[in-house]
Amino acid sequence: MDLSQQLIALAQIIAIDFVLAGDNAIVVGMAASRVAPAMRARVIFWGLAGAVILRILFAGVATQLLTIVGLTLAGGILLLWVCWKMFREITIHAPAAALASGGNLDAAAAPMTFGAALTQIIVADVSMSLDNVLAVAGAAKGQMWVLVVGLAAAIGFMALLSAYIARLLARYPWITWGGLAIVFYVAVEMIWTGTHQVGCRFVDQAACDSGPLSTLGKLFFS
Amino acid sequence: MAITHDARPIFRPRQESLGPQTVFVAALMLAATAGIFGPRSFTPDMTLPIVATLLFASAAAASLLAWNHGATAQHHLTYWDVAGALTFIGIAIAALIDPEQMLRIVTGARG
Repeated sequence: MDLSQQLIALAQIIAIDFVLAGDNAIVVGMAASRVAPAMRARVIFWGLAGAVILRILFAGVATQLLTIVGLTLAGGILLLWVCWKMFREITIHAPAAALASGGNLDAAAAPMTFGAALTQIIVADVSMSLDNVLAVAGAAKGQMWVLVVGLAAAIGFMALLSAYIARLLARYPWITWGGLAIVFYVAVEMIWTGTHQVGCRFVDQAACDSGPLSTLGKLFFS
Repeated sequence: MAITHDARPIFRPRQESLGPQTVFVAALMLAATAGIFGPRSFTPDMTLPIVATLLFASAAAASLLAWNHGATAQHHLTYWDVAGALTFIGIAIAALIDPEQMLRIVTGARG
């Protein structure tokens, strides 16, 4: 692979992550909007630093990851758990904090600790970055430096998106429900696709090629 | 008769700028136009990535305007809000894109 091909691969990786890194940015932004404003930049920085390390690790073992059946399904279930944590955070912790602060919503806007926010970001990133990393590793064609530089550029972009989202959610907390809906959709989509992949191991090729519904129908009703 | 001069400056309520609203609507219209005419002009695979990219680019433009305008009143819609909202909508659209679809587009492979 000569330099021009490597630069093309780098541009491809940046383009892929430019579009696909958004859902991770939502989780980072949502978590950052729920910590104290002074801590927000730190949460975004460490959350994204964790994302870089995880993606590089995953990309390094992408070939092995591809052989694991049910990885997408497991990632979807993990993400669903993150959704549940977020839902609890929105519906239970925030109103309780508001009550404790005498109904002052501004004082109650930071119910999350640094550790809790970081854990939420890292767990979501483990599941959400799996499919993105496989696509990116395919584009990198084994060139590690291309992969690392491309991912670093994409993470920088994600930091910008997260900062915008955190600022928006801190001002309009009701939009958090929209963020939760997006993450929930991604989780359900991963579970759907993952179930199809697992189901394909147990049905014939024709049923598998016909799509998830046909695969699951054959698996459960025949 | 005492003549008094009130030296206090006269505060008139400033007319609220419609700039952020205009930028928001213009960006949405641009993205909607790309969404409607995209499938005819490009391959259907490319429509969603183009719409998401346009929204992210508009968010970047709104944030530049926000930097330029500095701090604004808390109760009004700001360029930062517009940047955040456009980013949010862009991400919602990007969530509908399959990673393999992106790989096909950037590598030019046929699925």
